[in-house]
Amino acid sequence: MAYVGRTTIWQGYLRAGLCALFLNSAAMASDDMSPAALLKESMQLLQAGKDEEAISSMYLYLDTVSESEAPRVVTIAQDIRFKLIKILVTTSPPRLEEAAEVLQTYIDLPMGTYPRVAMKMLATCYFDLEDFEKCITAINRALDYNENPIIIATASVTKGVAEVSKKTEPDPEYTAEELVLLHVTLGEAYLGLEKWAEAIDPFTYVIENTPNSQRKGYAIMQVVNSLINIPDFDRITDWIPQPYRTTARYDIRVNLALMNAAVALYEAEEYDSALPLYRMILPRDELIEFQQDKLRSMRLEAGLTPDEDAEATAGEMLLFGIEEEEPDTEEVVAAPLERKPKELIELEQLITALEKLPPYENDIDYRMGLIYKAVDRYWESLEFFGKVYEMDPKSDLGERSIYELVSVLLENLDEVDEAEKRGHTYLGGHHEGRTPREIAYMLTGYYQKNQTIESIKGLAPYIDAFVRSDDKAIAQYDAELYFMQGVADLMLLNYEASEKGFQRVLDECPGSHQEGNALYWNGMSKLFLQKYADAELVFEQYIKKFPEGDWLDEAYFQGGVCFFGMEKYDKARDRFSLVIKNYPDSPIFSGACSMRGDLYGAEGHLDKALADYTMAMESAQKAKPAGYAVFQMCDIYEQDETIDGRYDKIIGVVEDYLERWKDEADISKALFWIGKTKLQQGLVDEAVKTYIDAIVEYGTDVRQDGVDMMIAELIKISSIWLSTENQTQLIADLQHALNMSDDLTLQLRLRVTIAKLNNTRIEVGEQLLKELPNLKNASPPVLAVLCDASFEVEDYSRSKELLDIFITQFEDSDYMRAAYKLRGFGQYSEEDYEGALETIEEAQELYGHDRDVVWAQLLKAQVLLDLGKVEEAREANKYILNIPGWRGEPVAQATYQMGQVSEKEGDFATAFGFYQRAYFQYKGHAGGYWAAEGYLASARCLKKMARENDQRNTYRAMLFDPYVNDLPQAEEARDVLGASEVAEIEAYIATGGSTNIIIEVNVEKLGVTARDAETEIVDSEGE
Amino acid sequence: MKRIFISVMAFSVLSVMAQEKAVQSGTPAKLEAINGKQISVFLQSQKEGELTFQPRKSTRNVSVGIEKVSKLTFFIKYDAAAVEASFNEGDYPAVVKTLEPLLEPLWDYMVIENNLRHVFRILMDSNRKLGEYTKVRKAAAIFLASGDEELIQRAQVNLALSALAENDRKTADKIRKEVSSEAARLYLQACIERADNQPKKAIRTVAKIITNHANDIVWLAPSELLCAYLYLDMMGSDSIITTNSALHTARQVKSIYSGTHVAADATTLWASLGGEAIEAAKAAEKLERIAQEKKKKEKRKAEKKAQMEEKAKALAETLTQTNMTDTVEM
Repeated sequence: MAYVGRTTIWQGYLRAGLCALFLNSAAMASDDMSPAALLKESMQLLQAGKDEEAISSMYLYLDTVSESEAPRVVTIAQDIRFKLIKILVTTSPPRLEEAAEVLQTYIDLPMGTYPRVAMKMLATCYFDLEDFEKCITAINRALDYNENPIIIATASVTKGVAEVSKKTEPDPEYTAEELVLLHVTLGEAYLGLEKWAEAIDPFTYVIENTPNSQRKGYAIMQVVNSLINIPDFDRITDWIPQPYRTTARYDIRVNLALMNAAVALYEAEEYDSALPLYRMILPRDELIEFQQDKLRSMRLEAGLTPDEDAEATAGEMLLFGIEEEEPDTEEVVAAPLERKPKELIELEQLITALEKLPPYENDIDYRMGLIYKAVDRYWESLEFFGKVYEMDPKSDLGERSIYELVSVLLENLDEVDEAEKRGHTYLGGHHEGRTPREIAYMLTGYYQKNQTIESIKGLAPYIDAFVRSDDKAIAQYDAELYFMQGVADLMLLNYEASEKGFQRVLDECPGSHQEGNALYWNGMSKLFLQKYADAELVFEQYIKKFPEGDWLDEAYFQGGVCFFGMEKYDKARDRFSLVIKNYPDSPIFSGACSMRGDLYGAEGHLDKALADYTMAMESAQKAKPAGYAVFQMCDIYEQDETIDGRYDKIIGVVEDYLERWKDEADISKALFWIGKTKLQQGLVDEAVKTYIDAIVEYGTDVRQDGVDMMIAELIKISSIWLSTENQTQLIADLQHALNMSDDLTLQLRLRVTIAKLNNTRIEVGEQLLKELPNLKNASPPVLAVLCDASFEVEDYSRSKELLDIFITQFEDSDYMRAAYKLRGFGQYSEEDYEGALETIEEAQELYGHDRDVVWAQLLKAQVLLDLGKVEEAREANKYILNIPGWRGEPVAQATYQMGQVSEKEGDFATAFGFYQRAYFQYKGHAGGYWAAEGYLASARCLKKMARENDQRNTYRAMLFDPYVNDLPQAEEARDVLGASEVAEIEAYIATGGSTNIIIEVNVEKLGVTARDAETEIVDSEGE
Repeated sequence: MKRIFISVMAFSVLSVMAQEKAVQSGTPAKLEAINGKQISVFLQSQKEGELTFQPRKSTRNVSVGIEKVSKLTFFIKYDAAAVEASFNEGDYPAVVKTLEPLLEPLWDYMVIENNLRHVFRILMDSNRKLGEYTKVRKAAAIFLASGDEELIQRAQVNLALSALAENDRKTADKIRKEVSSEAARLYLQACIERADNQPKKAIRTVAKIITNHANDIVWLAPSELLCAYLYLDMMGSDSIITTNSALHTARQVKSIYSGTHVAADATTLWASLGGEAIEAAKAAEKLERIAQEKKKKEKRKAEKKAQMEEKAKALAETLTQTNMTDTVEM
């Protein structure tokens, strides 16, 4: 027989074993039993509930009649098979493989009463056995048979019994519900084989035909899952909204499937599809509660108590049919299982699985936040991130959420205040782990991008409070954050802080990805602090440690700058030459050429300097270095009278520069040179017009130092070249421009220019000090006027601010000297002597022996004297006498100060000598100021020497001296001499009389020769 | 034969008489009492909670309190699917045109549970969309007395939105406070905030609906659509929000709630923001990409083929040379 032939060996053994068992116990004489007897026995055993014995007996019967083709026998055998199948599938545990075997035989043979049922059962068996291939075959066969039972049956039976099968077709067609179930199983079987595309049709059938909303929803979900796996995202969008309208949302499997599908869609960036899926997922507790209610209902329907573990009350026992009789021990375990329907067991298992699942709501909300963010729906995403953070701030998701929240506020919504509030609050309370660092990093990045550098420094306390970690990623963040703090300091020009900041990266994060950068910028910070030697060492270290580093060319170049600063010009030149030779494409190539040009220029090698500047100009990648080279060339051309056509050359290079760099060029400075050239060519009116036009056009930009150069030049032109009439016209033109302008920067420039031309500089300066709440619109000439006015009224309160503005914004400005002076005297007035000496040193380094910086040397002497460094003070004063450029008033003051030095030593005679010299030789200087001071100081010394008569004579001489007798100091002489003597003197002077009073003191220590004194007299007369 | 004819005639006359007697005025309906009993009636009126009707085949007016009536079933013939489709496509004039004459005689009965409440609600919504606020108020007043919680909410929201449209924020806010559903309350709050030109505040309110009431089928869709409008409102203010946000939101509403009137409204908005053109461009880009990939694939294939041919040729040449060598050696 065909079906016997397909029996497995295992089943054969099993059956043989069962037979043997049966033979031993129930029917010792079975060999002799007829088929009828076996049949009868099978039925008896079945009725007696002895399933095992019945199964064995049935197998024996079927073996016995297997050869028979008699229709009646075949019919009975089929009936027995059907009964056998029922026992096999309901026994515990179900014997599905055997059942499938028997079912297959039942279906293959004719005369079966319930072929459709059998086919359905076969499909179920295979499905439960996870033999999906066979399950699919079985279902397809069942569906085909259902459509055309005669043809299928005929084709499958032996010829002898075919006639019978034609006559009998008793079982009804599948109901709509059965068809739906078969299609569900078919779809699931395809999914089991990962045949996603094939699964779609059966599930679509279910969707279209089931009246059960939950089942429909489930089928939709499986279609979605299949489409995800195919993948076919375009079709998913049509399906997604549908489960939303079904009760399938409450199905645990649907929810689990929703999660999987949503994740897959999210990862595929199919946000429109993923979003509704996430939304549909019910909260775990809500789902459990719903399903537990359902479980209770199912238990009630199955005749069980609503709650499994609850002890049934008498009422419940009556209601739910609990049997009174005591089950035997073995049945205690098995009984509940036997009673529970399969669906109920499945639901219990699903609830258990769900209960074991950690809560997933936050995960879903977080992902929804990400989705909303991804589709530019930032406000919604914000709410989700906020919710997750609020729910579980300490979890990983909570931390990710606060990060995202700050990120959305800051970067997507530009709600900076709220972002900072949330971010800072978080940073204030979290010092460990990655998230605080990430948030600090994000805020830093935002501040950098928006150039709010001060805000970066606002993060420093949080960053400092971070607990260090060995975690590599965290260490990397720390290095980055420290580095950015250093950069912020650098950008704020706090070089000392930046030096420390970069050093911190090097010390605390050795080997970090920022090590090279930190080293280079540490060197740069030192360089900005003019610590040339230290900086040079750092650049050398960089060159050795990072021979392939990004800053290698720069390190060589900056090393050269350091040598330059250390006045090691040969080394500097070598270094610049190295850069010029090795790094022709580097951005600093042009700078190196200019620097070497400067060195050649200083050495008088003007041709070489011009060649380097030309190279610098041509290779410059930006307008600024090109401009530097061009204007240096202009300087050389202007200074070197031996160069033929030098003014044409100036015009040539300036025009080339303007042509190449156009709007980026420093046009005002270029115009300054053009104007200057015109002036040299005698075109004064043109030069003036060029300057006025340029000042008006470019004077609105506080950083256009070319404009300031033009202002200085214009003032010079006015005093040297213009007639009174033209000077008046120039002032009128400037006043007109001032009236027409509504730009504060230009207005200030023009007011100061006019004030200088009108000699009302100090008055205007005093006015501006009152007017300007801040100095951001003040260009260098304006700042210088403010300094002068402050100095005049001895108001040093803004001296530091003014000098800082120059140093940080107008470092190269020549107007800065006024700020140094104000600062120096300010420090002196505050008795900050060391500070004053530093300022003096800086000013002298910058301006050398320039006459308008002689104040520095005079002040230095005064400071040293106040510090009790008498000899140094004397030397400082003497130094002034030796500088030809400082002759005149500075010498008068220095002489007076020499007297102060001696007086401090108690050498009143010598002091008297210097004081006397001050009023003898320098009365023509400073409006007689130092002479008057000299008289008073002389009188003081004479008094100390107990030469009171000489003292009075000195006062008398003072009142006779027309250079000083109307100065305020003369009042002291009047007070001492008394009104009557003063009246006498004045009357005598009125008659044209003069004094011959000479006070002689033996002075040996005067360090000034008679020759010097003569020279001074000549000088003073000459002036 | 004659007797048969007379009988037929008599039957016909009786039938006509019977028919004449059965013609009744009023609105035919099936009335289901609260005890489950159903009778066919001709409704006469509903005033102050009292329903007057005539039982079928009777001209006697009977009055009962509406609380005794469980449900009315009207036998109005109209194309329900077409009305639903018009509404879901956002064709509100078509909805009103169809439903208004049909429902006009039935307004008074809407306080009682019946089979036309759904379309009556659609009519109310459509009228609000069309700015017919007087009609909205009339319909809402009926729903407020219906005892059906969902309908009451919808009536309240319609009333509040109508008040808001007429710039009566006080009334809108008063109604908002009376709404039982938190989602609906938040929705109205956001609408009021929007009317106050506070789009950021409003969208934060709507976001609360989305986060806390993600499964609210009634209010989530309009809330999301409101978000799209709020993103639009934000443009040009102090916000950095761009059209993209409104466009994406409208597209998502269109897609997620497809087949509903909210999706139809979203589609209109999306199209007005140039969504169609963007989508067409994207589709074209995708096609272009596919075509390019195909082209590349074909090119690779051709190159491979050429390589293979080259190899084969080289092999053939080698073999030929080998043979020649062999020949020489031989």
